[in-house]
Amino acid sequence: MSHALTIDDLKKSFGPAEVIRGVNLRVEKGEVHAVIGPNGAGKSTFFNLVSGAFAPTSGEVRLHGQRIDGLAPEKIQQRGLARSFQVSNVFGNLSVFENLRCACFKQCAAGYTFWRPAASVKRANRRAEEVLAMIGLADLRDSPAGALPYASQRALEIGMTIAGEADVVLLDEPTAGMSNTETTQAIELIRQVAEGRTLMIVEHDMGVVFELADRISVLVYGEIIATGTPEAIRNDPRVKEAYLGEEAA
Amino acid sequence: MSLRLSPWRALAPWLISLLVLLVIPLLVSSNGTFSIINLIAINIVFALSYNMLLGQGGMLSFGHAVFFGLGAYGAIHVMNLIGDAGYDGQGFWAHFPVYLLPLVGFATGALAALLVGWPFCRRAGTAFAMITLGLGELVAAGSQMFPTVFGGEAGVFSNRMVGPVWFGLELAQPADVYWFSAFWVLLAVFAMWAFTRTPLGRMSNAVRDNAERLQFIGYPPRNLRFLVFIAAGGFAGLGGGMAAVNYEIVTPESLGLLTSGLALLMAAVGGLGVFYGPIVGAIVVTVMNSLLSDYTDASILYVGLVFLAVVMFAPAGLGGGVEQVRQSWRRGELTRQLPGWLGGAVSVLLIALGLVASIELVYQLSHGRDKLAQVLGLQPDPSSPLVWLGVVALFAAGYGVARASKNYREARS
Repeated sequence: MSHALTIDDLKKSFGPAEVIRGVNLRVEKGEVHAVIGPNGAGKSTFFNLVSGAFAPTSGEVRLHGQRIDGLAPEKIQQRGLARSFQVSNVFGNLSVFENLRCACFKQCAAGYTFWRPAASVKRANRRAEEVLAMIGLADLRDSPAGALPYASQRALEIGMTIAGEADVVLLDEPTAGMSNTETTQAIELIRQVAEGRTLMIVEHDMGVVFELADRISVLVYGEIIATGTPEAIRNDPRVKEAYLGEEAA
Repeated sequence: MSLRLSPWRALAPWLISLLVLLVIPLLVSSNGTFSIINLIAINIVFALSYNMLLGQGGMLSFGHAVFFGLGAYGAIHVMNLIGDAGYDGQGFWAHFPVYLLPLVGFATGALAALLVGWPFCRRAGTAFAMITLGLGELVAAGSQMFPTVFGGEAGVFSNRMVGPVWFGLELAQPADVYWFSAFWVLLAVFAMWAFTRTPLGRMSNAVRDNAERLQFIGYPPRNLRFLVFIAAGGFAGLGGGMAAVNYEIVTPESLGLLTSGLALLMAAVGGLGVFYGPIVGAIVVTVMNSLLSDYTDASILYVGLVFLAVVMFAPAGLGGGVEQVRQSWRRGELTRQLPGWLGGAVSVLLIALGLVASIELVYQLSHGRDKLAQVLGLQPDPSSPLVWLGVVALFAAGYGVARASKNYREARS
């Protein structure tokens, strides 16, 4: 299997409202795959289905060929798929370092351990320090995560997502609400994250998308209307009409 | 890295605690005082075990006394087994010292939590609070149906002067029980502190802060809540075991809502966010509960007022206040901030004085006499407007100081 993610005829309804209406998608190993689409297209719902936050109404999601649809989020995380959140979703009263270390415990099978101090779980501590340096928050190591400036919290969000060494990573609007400088730094960080991993990102900022993505899928009203290289998507008339057209107008 | 404590700094609180525990018997001689100190030790363990749930794990329980009480019952029944085995000196219990009964309490409390906890831990918040409230009432009411186990309304009696005595540690007088209490309170506090430093302890903070995110880093919140629930139940049972040895009687009251409320009261007054907060709370509340009634007939009202005042005006509790001052001192801002805080403290004191005066005066009006006035040797006339003018003056002064110190704090923040 060369596909990291295989999604077949995925559907999700909330009561009578059909939000995802049959998504088919192949995400190749090692690629950066962006999912774009107008507001309300179902991008976040799509991520929630893949990561296990919701169970799909029908359809299949495979991670490295194995079915993961309908599994609990923690089961999906154990199989190597991690996600970040659009709204920062950290452990507010814990320090930055502690947030990262908690995200590393699963890999060391240490989260239920009560017979030795957390500081003695060497691998988790080492990995947390590593990620801390990578996301550039070493100065804020001991600050409570809830008190961080917005952009730092977003970086921590990404750090927690990759701390567990998942090989497929879903990032939900990682640069939303950032200034230009912050966005540039975030792109740099995402590039590093992408190294050796498969990345699927939802993003509104077209600059970010065209800079980072190997391939792009366009989600409109719960269906993917096109998938292709940034160049192909830019020139696709359907996409222009459905999505980019809004910006050109 | 720089914020990591040196070994000496990390050890200091424990050495100081040990020193205090060693010095207390040199200063105290009356059995009455030892009784209160023993009760404080029990309540410290109980309050801290409660904070494992609420402060550390974000689970508001109204039924924590169930595990305290069951631990106490487990311990007192074993105490009776030790006593019975003492007649012929045969069997396992004949060799089990009463000194180790808190371990039986721990096992009983943890086992009870293990048996009932799983369905409770699916959700935190209101659902958990309501379920534990139901559990507390259920067990308290159900205890009346099994008099052989719970002893009916009178409870179960025992005698702690049984079984083998290790190292000459007898348990005759409250002063003897003091060493027993000191040993177990230090051990239990250390164990609960150490628990906060383990991965599970940290993960329990994570589930408190954000249960949803926890799933996405690989852990179902329910499993973590359940493990914390068992640990908290165990330590509550340990406190119950201490109580069984201390009182030689356990009644169904120890399982009920009032006892659960006491745990919440102590933890909240002391502060949920600081590890030592519930210790402070247990000391303050126990002393108030034990001593205040010697001076006033309205003692319970005052405990309630203190609780209200803390919840409304200092939600971080007494421990949180201490921590605030400590951090300000570390940042070198204490000289700038302290006058504002002291002003606040003075205003609280003035208003409290006004409240106490009016409560006691009303008491004297309705009962014709007042204990506090007698203790202080005062004879105020509650029908005199002058006395009430003094009360109003206290309130006004308190309000004025409060306003002034608030302005001072805001001008310097």
